[in-house]
Amino acid sequence: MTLLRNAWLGWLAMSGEGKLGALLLLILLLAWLWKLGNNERQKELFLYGGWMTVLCILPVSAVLFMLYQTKFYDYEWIWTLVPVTGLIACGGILIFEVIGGKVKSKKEKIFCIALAILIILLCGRLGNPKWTVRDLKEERSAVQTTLQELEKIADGPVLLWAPKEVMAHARSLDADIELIYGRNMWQEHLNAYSYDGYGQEQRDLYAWMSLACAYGKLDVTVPVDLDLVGEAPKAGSTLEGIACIRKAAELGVNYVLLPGTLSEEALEELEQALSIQPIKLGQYWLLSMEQK
Amino acid sequence: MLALVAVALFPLSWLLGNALILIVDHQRAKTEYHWEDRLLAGIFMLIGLAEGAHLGALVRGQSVSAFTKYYFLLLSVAGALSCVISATCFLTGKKQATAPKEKQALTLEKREIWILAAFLVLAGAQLFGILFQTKVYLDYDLTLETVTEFLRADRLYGANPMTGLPYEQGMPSRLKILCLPTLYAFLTKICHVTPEWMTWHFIPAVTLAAAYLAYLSLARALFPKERFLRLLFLAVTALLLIVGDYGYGMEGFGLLHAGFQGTTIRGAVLMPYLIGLCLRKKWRLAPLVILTEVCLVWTLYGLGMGIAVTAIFLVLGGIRSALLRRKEGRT
Repeated sequence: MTLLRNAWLGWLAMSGEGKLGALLLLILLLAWLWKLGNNERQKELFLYGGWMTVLCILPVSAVLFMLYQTKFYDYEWIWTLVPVTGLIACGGILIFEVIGGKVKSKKEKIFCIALAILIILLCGRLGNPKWTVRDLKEERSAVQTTLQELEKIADGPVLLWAPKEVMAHARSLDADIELIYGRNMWQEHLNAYSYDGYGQEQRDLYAWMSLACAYGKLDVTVPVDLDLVGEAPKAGSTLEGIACIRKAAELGVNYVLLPGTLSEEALEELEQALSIQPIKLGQYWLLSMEQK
Repeated sequence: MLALVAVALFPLSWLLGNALILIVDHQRAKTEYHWEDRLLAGIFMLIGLAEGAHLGALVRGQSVSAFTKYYFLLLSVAGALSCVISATCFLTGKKQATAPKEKQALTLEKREIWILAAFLVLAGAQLFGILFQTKVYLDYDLTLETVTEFLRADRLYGANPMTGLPYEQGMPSRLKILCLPTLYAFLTKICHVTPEWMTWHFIPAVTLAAAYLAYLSLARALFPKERFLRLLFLAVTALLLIVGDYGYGMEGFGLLHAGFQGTTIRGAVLMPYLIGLCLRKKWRLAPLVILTEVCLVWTLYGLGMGIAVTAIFLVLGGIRSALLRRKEGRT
């Protein structure tokens, strides 16, 4: 039932993101009504493409395809079976040939070309994609600078616990740095790459760090909507910063990067409780657990 | 070194692909296969050889160094065999594989120049974006972490790439046998570039070029005699890839933001090419594409999308010819 639901919701999501799916359906419909195809190969492509499109949309057949492609991949990937781009390009050219044959003047032809380009452009999201992909250059550059400074300070291997943006890029920037948890803490799909999971202690550490970054406080209350894979700390409970840092040290962490937004009072409290002098490192505060 | 590898990729792919086509379909090699067939077949062979070296390295050595040793060995053997096969065919003079002679004039018509220029502008903009921007989609992927970890430790899957800590319960073997991260680590090592540059920029640029070769092959299958329509097909494809850059799973999105992933290579290179082969009834090259998919993505015990597409085309072809025979029988 879950797969059936995913198949149906998958198609709805795909058709909601952009309209190339709708353009494909329109082209297949016109190919069928106008009997498009100047040779056997074009006809065969439309026959294949038409059937596969229908089977990818119908939830029951879509589920069968999803099982065939293995559950590792999402609904979107069954569309690999349908040459969407090729079908639209071929169908578009043939439709244009049909319409172009009826148009005589050059002006009308130019108008038709402009209209066709406009229709294709309107099927996208006009530079506003739903799946926003940021340019990571600046973000990674900032993290790299922080890690380079950390490496200068660090004596020996580093097992790091840091805010999410650092944890996200640290391993790909410097493989010598080890992390207490990886991106699969908040990106569920990545768990398919490993049988290893995280304990509640590591999940608490992630939750505390995220909330400390957001609120700039040592003791934070867990909200209901926490971006975390697996069982989150109980909503409404309080995570104490000093206890979390001690727990991290017990788990082997030797360097902690704390958000630069932590207040002066919070830093003084930390220094007194842990006897560690925080060092300013870029936009973060560094705690070297080896100072203890 | 990177430029050398990029330049060497073309003749090496052509040589391997040419020899393979001569072996699998030598009687039609001269007349029915084109330069893009040879290049793509060669690229798929390079991936296949990388898979062989990767499996060898997993069994013996478990390191990038072992992979490098095995890959160079396999490349040398395959390259030498390809040279011998091509030279033999050239000397015998009968079955030499050359591109089919274009009946059309080599000079382009004015409208063809316009459409080619439009295609080059669109494809060039995509290439520029891939090479000089870092707009990468990372949510489902840890290729770069894996490549970086392989190079640091010179050990394949010795530690969890996400944390750098040793695995406690390990990872799925069906992911472990896929060769792309090891191939990228090898290329990073021999080209002396950063893993990021190789994985997020160079490889996606090669994937984009391979995708257009695959679409050219599909265009040739659909419009065998109309060069203008083939160029128009490529230009429309380039526009559709830019427009399709809106959602995960779309070919354009994969090519522009995740060209290093196996699923992107499958969706944008292997499948269009395989469909072109099926339309042209070049069944003998289909196993190469099917096997390449097995090297790149997790399949149902080797049963990937490629084998499904080929089977469906065979069934559809069978039904169509049965219907035609029945129709002819009636008349």
